Amino acid sequence: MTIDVMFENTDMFYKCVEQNILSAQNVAKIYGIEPEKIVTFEIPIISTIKISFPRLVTQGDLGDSDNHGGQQYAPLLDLEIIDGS
Amino acid sequence: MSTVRVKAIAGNGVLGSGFRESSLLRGMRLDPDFIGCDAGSTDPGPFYLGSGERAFPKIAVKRDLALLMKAAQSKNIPLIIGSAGTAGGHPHVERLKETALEIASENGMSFKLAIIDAEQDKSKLTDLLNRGKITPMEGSGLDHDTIQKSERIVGMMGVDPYVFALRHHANMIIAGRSSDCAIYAALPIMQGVDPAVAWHAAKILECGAAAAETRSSPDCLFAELEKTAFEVEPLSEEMICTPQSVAAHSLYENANPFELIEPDGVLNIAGSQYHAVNSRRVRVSNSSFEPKTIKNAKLEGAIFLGYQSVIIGGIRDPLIIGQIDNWTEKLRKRLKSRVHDVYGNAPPSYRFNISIYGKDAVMGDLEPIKNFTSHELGLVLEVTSESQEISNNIISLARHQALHLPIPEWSGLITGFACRHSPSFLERGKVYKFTDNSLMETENPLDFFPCHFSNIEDGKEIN
Repeated sequence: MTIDVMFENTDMFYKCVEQNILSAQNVAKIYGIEPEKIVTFEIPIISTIKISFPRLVTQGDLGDSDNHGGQQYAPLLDLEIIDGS
Repeated sequence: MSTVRVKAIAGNGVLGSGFRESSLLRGMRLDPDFIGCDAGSTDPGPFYLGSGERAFPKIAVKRDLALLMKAAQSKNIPLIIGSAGTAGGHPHVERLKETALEIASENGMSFKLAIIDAEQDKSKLTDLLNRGKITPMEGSGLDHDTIQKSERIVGMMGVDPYVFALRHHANMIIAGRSSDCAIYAALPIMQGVDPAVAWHAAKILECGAAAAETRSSPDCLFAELEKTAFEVEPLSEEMICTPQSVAAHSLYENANPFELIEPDGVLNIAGSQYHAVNSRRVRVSNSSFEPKTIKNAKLEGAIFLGYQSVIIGGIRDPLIIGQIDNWTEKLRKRLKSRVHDVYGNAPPSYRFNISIYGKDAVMGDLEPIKNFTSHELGLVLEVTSESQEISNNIISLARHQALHLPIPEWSGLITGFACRHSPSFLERGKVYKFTDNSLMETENPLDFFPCHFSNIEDGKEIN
């Protein structure tokens, strides 16, 4: 599973990074999986944080709830970044 | 010294998804050296690899393919199609070849056709496994048991088979399962473009207009490759590429945004630079490519799981919704008991799944919201077993249990489940799953991806 969080501007991207909002620990807490399974990447050139973790169920297998893995990012939208400005 | 320059058109991101004819025509006026199109993906799931079917209907595939074939013929440039028929196995390649020959016949076309197979022989794979040439990418990977159980196994080819076909002057290539990028990287590499440039450009090309800032519909993409850099622009005048959109697309669908692993090596885009040439065209440079000392190919297999029956329905009673976990627990127990009643001492084995929309159907175990407040729940009940008849029988038993499952709050007989259909169940037929991903060493890729040529004259296959 890979999720790309792309910020509209570098300002919000850096605030997110400084406040550690999308850390492996925070992401792990949201999804209820071990933090060691989560890898995050910061890509400043496109104000993006990429989050990757192994699928719980192989794609298309009997228990797969989302064949394209396209809707699993939704709970991340509840996270808040403090915008000091 | 001549300057290396290769111009490529990508038809779209997947053959059959459509593109604007005006975009293709606009691209042809730019004098391309080849046209490519990815015809497959694992995105739609294991059904296509297992069954031999294709995800996009023939009528849609034929529409796209006919336009691409006519365009390629008009300028006598190669048309390169990879991952034929969604899954890129033997029946998928055969089916796309048939469609291509239909088009050729209807239009009186003549050309040299190359067919590249990607389906692997099971005894060959068993031998490779014994010699330690197949390694798991995740989980336990392929073992002897899964090789035998698989309906079919395909390898994902890199550029070598395409280069072989092009060197033998193929006008059209229909290949089985490929790295999406190999489809587009082969010809540029053959012409002397730096592999880093070829692979990175291919990464952008393979999804068609998806690298545009806003992709209003699937459409064509154009790339111009020089020795050490490339430029891309969408062929629809409504769309634009920006440094942001191209850089963002470079990390699409990959777990790691900086290192993209291909059959032939690793593309590193950590230091890549993206510059706007004008308001809609982007120049990319400074990518690097590290070739593998031993090439390998990802192996994808599909295992048949059984036949499935499905019931779609819903619940609206808040009293039932408020105790839905108890309700589903009771349903499972009662179904098990009914199966024993009906089948006696040796009941068939089956898997029974309940997906609850409005609760956690979309995220399953990942769902963080534990207290939901939906006024309505949608339920999908699934039974999978070794035969359609058994699955139909068991789901019918489940239907009746669900319909009248009592809860303490109501006395008498309730109807606590809203069935969507009559008959209440749908026969899903055969269901499959993918095998764990594995890597196969391919010292000489052509041993694993054989290429056959035939001459098409006036729409007829001569040999």
